[in-house]
Amino acid sequence: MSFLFQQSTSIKRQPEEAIPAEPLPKRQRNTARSSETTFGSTEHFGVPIYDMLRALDAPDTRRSVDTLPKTCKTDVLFTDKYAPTCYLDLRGSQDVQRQILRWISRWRPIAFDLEVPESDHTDEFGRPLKKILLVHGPPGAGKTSSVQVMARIEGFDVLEINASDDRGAAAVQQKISSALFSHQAVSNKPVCILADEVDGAESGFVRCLIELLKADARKVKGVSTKGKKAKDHLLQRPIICVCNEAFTRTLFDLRQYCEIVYFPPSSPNRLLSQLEEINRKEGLRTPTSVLLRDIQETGCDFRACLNRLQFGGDRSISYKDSTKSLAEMTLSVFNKEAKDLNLKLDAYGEVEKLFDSCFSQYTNAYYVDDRMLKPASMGDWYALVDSRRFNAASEYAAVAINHMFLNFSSLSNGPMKYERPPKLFEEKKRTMTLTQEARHKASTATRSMFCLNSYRRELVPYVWQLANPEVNNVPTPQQKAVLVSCQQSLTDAGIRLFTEKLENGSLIHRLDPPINLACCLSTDQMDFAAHGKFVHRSHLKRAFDEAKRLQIRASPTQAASQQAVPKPESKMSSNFFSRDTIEPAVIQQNKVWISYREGFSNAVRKRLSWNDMFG
Amino acid sequence: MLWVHKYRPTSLESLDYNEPLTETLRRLADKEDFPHLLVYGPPGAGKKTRVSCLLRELFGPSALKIKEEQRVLQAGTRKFDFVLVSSNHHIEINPAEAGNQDRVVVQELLKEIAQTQPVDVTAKHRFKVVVINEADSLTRDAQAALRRTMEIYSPNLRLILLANTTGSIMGPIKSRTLLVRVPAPTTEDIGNVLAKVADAQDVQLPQDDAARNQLWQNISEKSNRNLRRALLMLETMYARSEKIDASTQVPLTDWQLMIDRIAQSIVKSRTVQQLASVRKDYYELLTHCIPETVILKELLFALLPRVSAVAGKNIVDAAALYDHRLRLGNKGIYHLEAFTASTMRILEEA
Repeated sequence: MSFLFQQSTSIKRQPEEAIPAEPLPKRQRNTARSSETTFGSTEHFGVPIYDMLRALDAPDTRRSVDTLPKTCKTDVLFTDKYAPTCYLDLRGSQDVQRQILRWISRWRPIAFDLEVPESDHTDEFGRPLKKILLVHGPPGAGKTSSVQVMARIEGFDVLEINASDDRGAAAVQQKISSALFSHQAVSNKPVCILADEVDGAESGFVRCLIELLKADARKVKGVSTKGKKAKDHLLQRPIICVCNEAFTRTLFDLRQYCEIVYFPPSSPNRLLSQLEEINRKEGLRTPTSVLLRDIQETGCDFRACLNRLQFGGDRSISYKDSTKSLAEMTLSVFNKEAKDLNLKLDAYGEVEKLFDSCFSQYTNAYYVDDRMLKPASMGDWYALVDSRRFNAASEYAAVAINHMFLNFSSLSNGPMKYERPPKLFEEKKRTMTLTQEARHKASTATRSMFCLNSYRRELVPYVWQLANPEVNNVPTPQQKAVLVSCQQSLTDAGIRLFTEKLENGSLIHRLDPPINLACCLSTDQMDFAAHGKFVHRSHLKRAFDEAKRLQIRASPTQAASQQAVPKPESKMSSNFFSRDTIEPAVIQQNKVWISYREGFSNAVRKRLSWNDMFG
Repeated sequence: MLWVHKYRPTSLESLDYNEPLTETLRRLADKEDFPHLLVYGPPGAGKKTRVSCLLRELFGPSALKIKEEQRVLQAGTRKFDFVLVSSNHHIEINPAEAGNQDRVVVQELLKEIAQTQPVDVTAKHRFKVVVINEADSLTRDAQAALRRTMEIYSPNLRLILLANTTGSIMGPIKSRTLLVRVPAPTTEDIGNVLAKVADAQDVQLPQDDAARNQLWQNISEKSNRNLRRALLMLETMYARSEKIDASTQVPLTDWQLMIDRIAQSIVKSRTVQQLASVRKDYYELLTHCIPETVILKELLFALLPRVSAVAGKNIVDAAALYDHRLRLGNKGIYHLEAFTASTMRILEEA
């Protein structure tokens, strides 16, 4: 309960601190003052519940329809105007938000000199185990703005380092160290570093971060470094990195130090309701169908939608544009009634794009044909468009499009639905980086045996199948051998398993890197491709854990410490079903651990003692 | 470890097939001098395995201790990373990974290596070996750069080029190298190797000899006599099915299955709707980085058994034409679709 309470206070106060320029509604300010006078200090009693309720109403009054002029004539970008400013504005799913908030809040003890709470998920200073938070997601999902708000909620000042700044190693080094290890004169709040667009950063930046983390690790261990580099600092401030693609080559070295959070784009429905709200406030009267189209075309990119809303603006008035869109041009190629096609083509600049669009459209058109003659005859025209000659003399471009018109246009093609050509390049690049990444993790011998192409086309598909070994609920000895062999092969190919908890509390085992995206083509079984059958994967996971245990035991430093503790002996015996079982040896320890299913929606958490259970 | 890796021969003695070739390689290694080599053959025939065995024969076991290095190379003003695998005696590079910058890789790396000479005077050979993978995808510029390097630095540098075909390697380089062809293993060879591996891994096989031979036959056929792929198939079968016998389905990759489905649907129905759905499949394949030329080739061979001989001839003609156009242009989907449309037309006319 206390967690929730604290959260809400910061929600309420946040608007005051974050945007001093925007006046708060009077009501709220008055209550804040009156509570002070009545109770002396709000710190003793927290915030009264009615204040919190009013604060919940506050954002609405702040931006209600009445307070704003009907048509917005300010020169503020919508993207700035409607950037989230408090917790309630945040986009993205709740559990992602909580994950990020929880991570940032773990830095509070060390940053504010608070008492360190005991937890399994933090180190001795109360900091999270992974010292960097890496938030990745598609553009316009609201990553940067959300993280900014969340850092402020936790009481940090945000220092943003993005691609517009110099990101050479030296410049960053200086900037970060001055921010991290010294107090700021202006405000007494600690700084949280937000590195934006890290996937585009130079390698110097990443190296600098890693150096910091290593120095931190040395400091924690208390290893003294010799010579000049005697200054190892303890990392006391959170560092958050934001990027679109977490699996790029530049971030490879950094990833092992990072807690990786995927920030998904908002759902179309939610986006639509938000856009409609803004639309109403601004008095723009954009029809819902246009908003929907915007959302579809931008792929749920909130920022792009806002921009379109503002500058595509009053579509009801200025809809008759002189320049035609690609969609309209394409459709007019297939419409027999369209006049002056050549004139239009001359006026329209991007003929190559238009041909591309016609190409993806013509299968939807109605036309008279004799046994596939017309589609087959297009081959030569494709060759012309796709040749160098074409680029040199684009006068011929119009001819190719005219041929399309001759072949595929008809009178009934007027109300045809327009389809956008798919974005091949980006998708291809994603698969490319994914397989490169996976190959990079494979053993050297495997890598020298499989060049990138054969790794992608031969090894990856089979390795994926190896990740789904066919075993019974209780594996037979033969199947156990299969599991061990599969585990070794996967490790050799650079694939690991990691366990993830779904929102409904069930566990799944995913592959890391997610090679299923690179080798599984049939889209109807995406889930199976990603996490296979639970039984198979959990047995495989056990094989992985076993291998790790053996490896740790084999390594010399561990062996020494193992010897010190007398190893309790385990007994072999047959159980009821006459299978061989190993009876776990009794270890003399007083602690008893009980783990239970822990989900994101555990609203109430209570400490239980043994007495509670028995009594 | 992967079985392909675990059971890979590491010395010339342990090679399983192509005995005469092995003998030739041994003789080459025994001699005082050693030529530049151009090793070529179909994928999965064992080129790289033979080369690493040869290196071991030349320099002893230390040639197999490989490690990885990352180099930063400068091409004009742009810098890029390049990964190479090396031992004390040789380095292995894959210039195709550098894309258009392969010329820089060849020039810079080879010069750097060639200008240093091993200090150890007692060593059997005073030269270092550079293994160039996928040499057939080297650009013309890179090949030209290679050609001079081979002559100037010949005292302390030997090259081993690995390629699938010699077609795209230019004459001057062919004339400077000894051509060694590694043929694909026969079905019998594949059967022997698979049986050996299965035995070592305790795979339960059918007792009956005929059934066993049938199984090897199936795998060899499906793998296109590519031993690497055959071993992966066997390992997958071992993991995926309780008992392996002649009727066990040989696992194929998803993209191969999809191309097979495309061929099926082209033969079945020939409409524009079909064309549109095939196009979706093509996009799916392309986004998964299956090159257009590979799609075309696989599709052709999936189509041929399903059509009449006359139509088959025309389809091969069309495939040759569009393959050529694919290589000239860069909009693969156009030509794939054109190939599909003309195949449909050919089938309609037949």
